[in-house]
Amino acid sequence: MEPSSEKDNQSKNYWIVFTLGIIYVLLLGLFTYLFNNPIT
Amino acid sequence: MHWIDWLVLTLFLTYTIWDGTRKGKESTNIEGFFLANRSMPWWAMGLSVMATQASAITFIGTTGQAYVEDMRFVQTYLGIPFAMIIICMTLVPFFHKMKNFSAYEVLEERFGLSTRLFTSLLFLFSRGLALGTVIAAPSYVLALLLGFPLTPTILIIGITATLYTMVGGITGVIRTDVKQMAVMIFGLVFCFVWIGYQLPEDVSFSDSLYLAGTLGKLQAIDLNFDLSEKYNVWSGVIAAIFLMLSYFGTDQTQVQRYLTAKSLKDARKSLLLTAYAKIPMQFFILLLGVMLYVFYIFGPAPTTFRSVEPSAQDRQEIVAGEMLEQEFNAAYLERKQTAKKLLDNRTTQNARAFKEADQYLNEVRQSELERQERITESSLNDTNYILPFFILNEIPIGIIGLIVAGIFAAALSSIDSELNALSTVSIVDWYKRLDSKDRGEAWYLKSSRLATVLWGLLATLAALALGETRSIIELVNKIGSYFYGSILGIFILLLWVKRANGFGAFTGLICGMSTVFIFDRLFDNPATGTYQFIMPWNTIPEGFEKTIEYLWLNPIGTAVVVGVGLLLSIVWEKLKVMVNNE
Repeated sequence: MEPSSEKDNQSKNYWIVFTLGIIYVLLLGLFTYLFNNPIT
Repeated sequence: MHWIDWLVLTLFLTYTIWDGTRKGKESTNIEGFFLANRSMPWWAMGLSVMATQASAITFIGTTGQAYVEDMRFVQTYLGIPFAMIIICMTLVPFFHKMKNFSAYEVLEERFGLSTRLFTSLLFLFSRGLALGTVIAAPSYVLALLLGFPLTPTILIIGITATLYTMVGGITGVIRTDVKQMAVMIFGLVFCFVWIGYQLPEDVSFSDSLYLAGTLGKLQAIDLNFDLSEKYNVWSGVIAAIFLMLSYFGTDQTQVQRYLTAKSLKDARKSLLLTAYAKIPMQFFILLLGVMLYVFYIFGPAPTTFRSVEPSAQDRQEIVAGEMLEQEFNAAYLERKQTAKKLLDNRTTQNARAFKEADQYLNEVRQSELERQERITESSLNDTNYILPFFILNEIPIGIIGLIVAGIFAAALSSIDSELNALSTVSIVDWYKRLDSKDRGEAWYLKSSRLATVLWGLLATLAALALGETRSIIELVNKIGSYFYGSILGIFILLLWVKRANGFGAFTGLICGMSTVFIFDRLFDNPATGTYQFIMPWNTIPEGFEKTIEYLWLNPIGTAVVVGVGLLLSIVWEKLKVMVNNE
């Protein structure tokens, strides 16, 4: 069994990774929006 | 290559063998050989996870892909952070509690020996087949790059990886993976910086991004939902999660990494490293490909990055080649001038002229590729040769050797892990499990080393036998994609579906793979709206395209295995109760 403080830490880590996953998608979207301006 | 580069490359390979083998004697049992006595630090495991996943073809192929197309490939990895959270919460603690050697070992208790043997056989079959191409594909590029015959190149890669994996076991694999990852990253960063340095003085980094953006090469996100499109944000976030869950959570090549962890916390940390680093790393690999494109707008661009000359008798192709070269030179000058004009004056008119010049140049390049296809009488693609061409022609002496070592490192770090995993599954799931005698640890350790050599030999021979036929490589990857989603389904049944039994799981697995096969071979013609099922050995009729792209096959496989597995388990239990009552 994991101690409860370790479990809290772990779930905090997961939230950080989850947020980071969302941020990566948004950053790539922002990158495409700002820099990819193809001429049609 | 200059002799200094050869020296650097030789030193790298010698160091790899020494580093991979020097701890070999410390393994006295199979737990030491396959799991490093569960003593590895998290950062070493994390880097090894990343190095294993980044093969040489990822390194050189995706830069080429960004050069030829754009950066949409990065979306394939968008599911990784979410998949890693799920794996850390579920499979990692489960494996840690079970203290298993192989991922498939845990299936036996609930689903019986046949399910364990069948899933491990699927792994051996798909990975064993793929390993030949993992050796062959970079060997073709490296042989051409080094001006070295193909057979010795394949032998060097195959023998080096087999030698240190056989002696050093998982400790050797992880130790070398860490250094190989460092060499790979150095190579990438150096190429990136060097391109910036080699661009004309009046072309800045932001100018490069502007030119690439004008050509649509900086598209990293595609919001259009289309099942038949390979890369978009939906397939990357939704469908790819299933592939990543299966690859990082149930594939022995990856699972074995975190089975070597000292503690549960370390195992989780090693996986989270990939969650943090994989997307930025892949983004920069693709951006490197785009920067190469910009570099060749101003630098000395060849018509194609891999050329084959026709025989002296083939006058028609020689003349066609000369004409295409002249056309290419004119198109190259035109594009360079329009690019400069656009940077001086960023108007829509200039942007359009630049884009048209670029389109024309690519048409000429395509005609040259088609001419070379006629000469070689095979499908030819120079995507994998773009980065190596740049390295060989633009990078300073000494560093070339180190970057070529980086390509070798990328190849070796994938091969060693696969060899070790194949050996583990062969010994743990098959030989040791089915052997009625208890032969003792020393015997099984010897057998494990022998299994590593046999797999290494088999893969090297397969690499020698393979032609550079893209269809074979694609076919092997496709075989893998048939299994991934379905195997994930089996683990979902194991962890979350209490009513699932061996019969349901096994039948579900067969149904899942069959469904994936059917969907994979489904083609449609958008013009007529007709669908057709086409077997792999039949030619695809003109106008027909894939209805569902491969990433979506993973959730389909998982859903069928879980659905059919659960249903048949319930039916089976009810039938058993009925028979018992009678």
